[in-house]
Amino acid sequence: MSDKRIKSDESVDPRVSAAYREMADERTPEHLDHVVLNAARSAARPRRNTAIRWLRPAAWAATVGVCLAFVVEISLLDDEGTAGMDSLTPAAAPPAAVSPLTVPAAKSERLHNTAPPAGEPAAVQSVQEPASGPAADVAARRDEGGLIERARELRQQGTVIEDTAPNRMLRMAPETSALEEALTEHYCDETQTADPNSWLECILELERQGLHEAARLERERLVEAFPPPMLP
Amino acid sequence: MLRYRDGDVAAFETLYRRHKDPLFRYLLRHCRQHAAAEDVFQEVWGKIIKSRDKYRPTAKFTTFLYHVAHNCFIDYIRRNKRHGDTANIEPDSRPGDGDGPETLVERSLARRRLDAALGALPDEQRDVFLLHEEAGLSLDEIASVTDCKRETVKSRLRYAVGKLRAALDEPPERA
Repeated sequence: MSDKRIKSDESVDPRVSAAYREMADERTPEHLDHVVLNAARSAARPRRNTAIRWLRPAAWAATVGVCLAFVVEISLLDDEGTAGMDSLTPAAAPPAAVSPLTVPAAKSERLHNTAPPAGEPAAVQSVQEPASGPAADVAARRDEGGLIERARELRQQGTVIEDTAPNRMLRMAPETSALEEALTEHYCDETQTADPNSWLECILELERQGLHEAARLERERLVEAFPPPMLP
Repeated sequence: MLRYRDGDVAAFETLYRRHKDPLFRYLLRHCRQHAAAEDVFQEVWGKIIKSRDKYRPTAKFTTFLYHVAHNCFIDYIRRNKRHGDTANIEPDSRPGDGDGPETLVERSLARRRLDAALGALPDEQRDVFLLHEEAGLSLDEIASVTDCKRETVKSRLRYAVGKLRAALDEPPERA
């Protein structure tokens, strides 16, 4: 490389250059290598560490937090699940045992027999009153003894309730109060509620039958399911 | 250097190992003292490390490195006015394989004469000569490093080489 420049520049004597190269063979002391390279490493390190300084603890904290939350959630679920299964009290009776006994016809019968006072659902009143007929039948089935008996029957029959999370929640949940049940009763079936038009017809039919409270409840459900822009 | 700027220390090590010996010799010939050369050497690499964020690949890294080294040496001269008073570089006199005793003696003497002549050169001429020999820079690159015109560099190099040639041509008994 140098020789080429020597020829082009015509400023350097090749003999001088060769003599110099023969003479100049000093090497950098090793301790200088360590000093410089350590300085280079330490200068480069903080820039990486500033990112890692926040990244690593944050990652660890997030991981530990997620694990703790998961463990707590699992342990809570297990405790509640075993408690619900072990102590089959009337309050914790499986709702699945009650639901098949519900007679849809009782709804209209009950609503026919009650006069809805203002501001209070008629269904609530009908459930609370020891009335005769289908309403009384439903009330009787909700009796503690009836529930226990029903649960025993199901156990004896070997009815297997799938151990899914919703079923577990249902088993763990306390018995639905009459008020809640009355509020969650539906008077229009799923085929009718699938379409707003058929739902409206169902509501009109309820009103024609004089089931004003039921119609009101269905109207509320309709508005929830199909907000005004979606209504026909 | 760009890779080192991005945090690649291995790239810096490669760069350092490629340039360390020529740079050390350049500084040693200028400072004429090992301790001083080591100090300036550390100073140069310290500046290179610090300036990694500002580094722009507008020229060869070698040009950038020796520009820093040139400035550091000027600073060293300003700090130590008597830098040339003590010359303690001991030319290596290791015998070569197959060389006879007379040849070895002659070679050793030539090295000493050249070293003495190099030390006797004015700083500017020695600087140009060393930049040419050690850094392998062209006249234009030397002009860039030393902030001089190309013709000035060429003239200084010619003078330097002439003096060194004269030293080499001296009869052994006069050396």
